[in-house]
Amino acid sequence: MNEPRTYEELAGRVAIVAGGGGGIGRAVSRHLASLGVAVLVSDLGTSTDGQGRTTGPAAGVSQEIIAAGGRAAADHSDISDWPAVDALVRRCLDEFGSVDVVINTAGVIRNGDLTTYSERDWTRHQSVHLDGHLNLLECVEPVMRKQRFGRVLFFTSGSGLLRSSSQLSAYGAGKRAIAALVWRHGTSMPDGVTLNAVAPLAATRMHASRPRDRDETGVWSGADAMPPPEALAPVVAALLLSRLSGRVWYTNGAEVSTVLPPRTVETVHLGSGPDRSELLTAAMSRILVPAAEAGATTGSSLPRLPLSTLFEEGSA
Amino acid sequence: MSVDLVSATEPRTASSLASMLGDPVVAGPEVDFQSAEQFVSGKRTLVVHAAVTPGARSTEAARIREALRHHVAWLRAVQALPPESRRGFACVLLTDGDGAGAVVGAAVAQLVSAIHADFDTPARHYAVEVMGPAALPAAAHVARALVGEDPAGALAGRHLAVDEVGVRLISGPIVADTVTLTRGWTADWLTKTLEGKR
Repeated sequence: MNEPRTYEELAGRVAIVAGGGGGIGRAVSRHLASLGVAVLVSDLGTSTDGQGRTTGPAAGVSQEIIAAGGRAAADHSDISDWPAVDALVRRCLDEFGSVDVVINTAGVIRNGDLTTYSERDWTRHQSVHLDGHLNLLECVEPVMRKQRFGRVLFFTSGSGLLRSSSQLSAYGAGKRAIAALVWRHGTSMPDGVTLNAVAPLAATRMHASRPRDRDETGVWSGADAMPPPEALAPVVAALLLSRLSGRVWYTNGAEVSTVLPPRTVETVHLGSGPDRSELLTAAMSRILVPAAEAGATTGSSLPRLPLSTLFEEGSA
Repeated sequence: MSVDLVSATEPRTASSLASMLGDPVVAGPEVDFQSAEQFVSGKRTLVVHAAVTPGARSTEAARIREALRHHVAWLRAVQALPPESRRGFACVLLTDGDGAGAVVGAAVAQLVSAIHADFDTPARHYAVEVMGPAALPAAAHVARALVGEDPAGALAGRHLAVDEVGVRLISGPIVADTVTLTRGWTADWLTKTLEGKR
């Protein structure tokens, strides 16, 4: 199957959009449908914290697409459940003939630090984020490998990529794990298949549920200052035309930035000699702490220099 | 400062770490949120390891989730201590640096960073990736140093990696190469621009 490089070549393909019943998922589903992509809109219809279930959101978006002349169907699978995802992929193959694109915008968020989370809360959070993304990847990868084409686009978050509040610790940990999955698996996908992720910034109901802050001028940040989900949909569609894989992109609809994986800031070679303890103790305060504060190497751990000489009296 | 408590999802790793860290109390491998709270009571220092064991009879997602849950049980238990008990408490979280373990390591690094982002925790937490089983002795060495030689918490909240011969300081993810979408931008232009960067 040829890889589409234009919107015209994307037309006629088939997409599963998990979390497609609201927010960014809804905007992406509608935009893809407007480009001629058939969309299986999957949404469990829960609240932002994962409570309750309703068929309304997925059915509503599906109906909107069909009313506008597009091809769509609604689905209500729980993507944290492997058999349900397997059935979702098989349904897509049966009804539409292929699975060319998988986009997962599904997520839950519940504010609170670790102490306010029960074991059940934690497990639910990670089931949706970790299991949901891995289940989709595991079920769709063999299909796309056989097709020799596929685009898998996950959704991570700035809360998992930047130094965020402990009030978002469970959400941030799950979203960071999604980015790590993409960096890890994305470079070893089959020919013609890509795996990437987007860290979006948009005014969704999920953002509205997050704690808000005032900046130094007293202005509230949060959903009011953010673009609508519809602003991101064209960027998402364009990213499906790229052959890049293993990338994480931040976008607010007006900018696209590449988010690079963590890198080594500083290295300390301790060797295996009997003085390792002393070297490590000295290296922590003399090398690692300054590097941590500077966010960059201080150049004091060059492997060609014997580490012990750095700690001699009067050395820098 | 000695290590008071060790927990690992694999009993062999737990006993290895315990012997390297001066035979502290060993908890686990089955630890839930409640039992972790009971174990940390009265302790001052803790070293945790959770492995994503290949070949276990579960999906990779479940194995990642379980390893992460193990770390969270301990992180949560430390945060649940009264402030006077948390003051000076040191917690080193060891993760596997390769394979699916790297995903757990990333999530743990984010959690540790988030806990320290609020600047209101009197405890110290460190995320340390262990680059292969042969690096476990070096990791124990580093854990002991972090617990005992960083009383002011200058490295607390940081992400480190340990191999057999050294220790590395790891950054967080880095935002780079911003492309501004001016009016009339096209998909062809955006994909070519992104593909032309690193």
